[in-house]
Amino acid sequence: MKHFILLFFVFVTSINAAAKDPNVIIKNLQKKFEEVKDYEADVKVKIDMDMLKAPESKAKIYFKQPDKVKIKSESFSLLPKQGINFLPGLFIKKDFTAVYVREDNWNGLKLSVIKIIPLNENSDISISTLWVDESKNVVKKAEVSTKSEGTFSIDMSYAYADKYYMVSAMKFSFDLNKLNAGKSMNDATPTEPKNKRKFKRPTKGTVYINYSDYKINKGIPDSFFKTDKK
Amino acid sequence: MKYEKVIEIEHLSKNFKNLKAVNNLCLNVFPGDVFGFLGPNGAGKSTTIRMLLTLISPNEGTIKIFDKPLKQNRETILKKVGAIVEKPDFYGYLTAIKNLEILAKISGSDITKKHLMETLEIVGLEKRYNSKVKTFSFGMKQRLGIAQALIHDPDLIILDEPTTGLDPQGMKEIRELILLLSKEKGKTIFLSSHILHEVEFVANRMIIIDKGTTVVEGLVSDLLNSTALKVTFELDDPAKATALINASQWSGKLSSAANERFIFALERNEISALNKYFIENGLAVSAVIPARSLEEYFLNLTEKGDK
Amino acid sequence: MISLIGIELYKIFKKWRTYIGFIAIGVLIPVIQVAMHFEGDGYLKMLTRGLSSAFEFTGNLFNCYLIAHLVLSVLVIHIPFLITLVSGDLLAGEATNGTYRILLTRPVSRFRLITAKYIAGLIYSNLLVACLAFVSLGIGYLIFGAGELIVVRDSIIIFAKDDILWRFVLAYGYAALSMMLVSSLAFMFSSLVENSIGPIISTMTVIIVFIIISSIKIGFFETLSPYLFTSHMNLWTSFFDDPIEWNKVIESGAILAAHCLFFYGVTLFIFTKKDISS
Repeated sequence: MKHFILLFFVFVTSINAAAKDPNVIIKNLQKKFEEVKDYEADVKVKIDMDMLKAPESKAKIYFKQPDKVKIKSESFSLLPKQGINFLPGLFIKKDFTAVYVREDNWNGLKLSVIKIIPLNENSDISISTLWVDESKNVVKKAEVSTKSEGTFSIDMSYAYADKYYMVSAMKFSFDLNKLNAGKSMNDATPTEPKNKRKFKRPTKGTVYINYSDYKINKGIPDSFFKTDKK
Repeated sequence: MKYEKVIEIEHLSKNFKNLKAVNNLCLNVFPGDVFGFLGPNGAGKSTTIRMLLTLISPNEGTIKIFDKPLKQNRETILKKVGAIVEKPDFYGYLTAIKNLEILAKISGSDITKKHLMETLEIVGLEKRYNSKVKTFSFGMKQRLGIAQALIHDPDLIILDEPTTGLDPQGMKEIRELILLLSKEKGKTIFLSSHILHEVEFVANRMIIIDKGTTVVEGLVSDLLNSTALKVTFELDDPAKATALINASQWSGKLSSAANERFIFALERNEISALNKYFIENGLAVSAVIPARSLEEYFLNLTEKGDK
Repeated sequence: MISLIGIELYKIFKKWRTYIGFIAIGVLIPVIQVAMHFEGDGYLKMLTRGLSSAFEFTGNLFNCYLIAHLVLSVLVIHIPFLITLVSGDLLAGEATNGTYRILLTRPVSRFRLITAKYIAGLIYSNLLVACLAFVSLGIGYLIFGAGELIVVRDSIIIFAKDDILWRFVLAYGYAALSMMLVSSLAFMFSSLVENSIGPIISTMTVIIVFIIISSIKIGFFETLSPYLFTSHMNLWTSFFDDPIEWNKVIESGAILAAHCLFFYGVTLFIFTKKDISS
């Protein structure tokens, strides 16, 4: 199936001889991305999900090239793994094929649409679509289909922090088709029939993450990202 | 508190399923009485006492205490009533004085510890005031039962078998206490007992009931005088005595004779006449023993009832 | 009346059996807490396994609130037994001791005596629940600290740190109301017999049978379930819903309160008319 999709896109792009080179776009994205060696930022997280209610939370997010990410919080916070690891993961993995699809006009902004297909059959991602703002070399939006976690999309807004164009807000939307649910421990005498009280798995939702107070290229040591073992 | 009658019971009845425990009972107790409430076992004494103390509700009849209907004035009346009902039981895990303190508080009485100690002293338990009641003997619990009946200085004291479990000295002390309370403190005592000589010694009025019904009621002295006495004469010369008796009007009064002891059924005023007869005929009388008591009276009456 | 209640409480706390409940809670809950200290990660992982593959967690979800919530849910059968030990003895114990005679010949109405005993039983029930709350939350806080609370019911709900304590206050309050119902039932049975074992067994039997009936989701039993008081006793869990179904909670609370009053009323009726032969 994957080979068919690949051939199809190659065929389409070969016809469209005037299409951009997606690899160049990705290379430019990566170059821009690598300008920031490390950063620390405050994040506010708000969750809007069926079958999960959580309060708005605050945390600190730390990043160091190429893909070290750490979340720290005094209180509880819940951050989507795919959301925070997406961009680092994008550039770390080289075994993919990129295909330029088209140019989209999004809120007056011209965005190049690229499809990324992993070549590794064991990859959990089936296909990713990126909307790239080539004027700033940033990904404005991504849609990813996975084998195990359904599909998710990430909308990103940017703002200048020092001289760097950083993510200021991220909207992470997902449609999960598989989640193992926790059983309710709390019903010795359920007031409703048990079949009605069967835990329904969260399937859809959106996580809003606001980034602020960036501290960029301050030299975070590698040891900082070592996992604290309990 | 001035009242005409301390207890007035009219047509009192109580049924337990098919058993008529108390049947149309009537009695009156007057201020200052030591009232003996007598009857054989199962006569209905305890049932009557429980109705006096509102532990049991009567099926018929009325009870007045201090001239007031009991049902409508229960709390006012019971403030001036102290009682032991059958075996006195207490909170075994509490001390003697603590039991009394709690009972006093429940009664709403503002009784000092000093007063409680004085009451314990009256019943001879002052040295064990701080001992847990579960360590008490039966007799000690009985004394404590009397103490709890006295702590709030009642006008009427109802005692149901108060000397049960006591040694002879203890019984004597209780008898003296009853007389003290009656004569010196002006208390009215309602005394239920089957130890009949106890009642005889202390009571001035009495009732005998049987099968829940009054057999007889009245002054102890009147009830005693209404029956013939059994008088034993001890005579030194039995043969001469026999001949003298047979030759006289006294032969019809002779109940039995054994050696020197000759028992006659006499009226009280005949005792001295018979004694004079023996002496005038040269017969030495070594003893004259009147044997009629309330006990014999009680047994006679209840036997008649059985017949 | 205050004086009478004080006397009844004094008598209750002078008996060794009263302390069984407090000792049981004082020992059992720390045992649960220590066990959770060593094994709690597994429990939390079980609760969050539906999310852990997709989400990164931070913060202290494994805290005193989680443990207190767990303790409250598992002790729903055990606490009633501790309640019946005392409440079932309030009247039957007097009969066993033979102290009815000295008690009921006092110049105080049976209504006041019964009411004082009933209130003393309710106070004991509330003290036991308060002890449960103190040990669960108080000692739990010292061991595990505070944090957010994760509750898995029909959905996963995570409560903010400052949004939890008032819920526990209301939950413990509701649990106390449930335990007052148990106390009332045991008290009623206590008025019928002269041995405190009877009320203990009767009360626990009623509760267990009702719980079993409630759990049989077939036809008649399912229809009957909402009318059984045990179906309403567990609504303390509603305080850990978002939003809280206030109507349901208030209705069930009113049903529990009505049961309490009913059992008290029946006891009063029986006892004020009862002949004391013992």
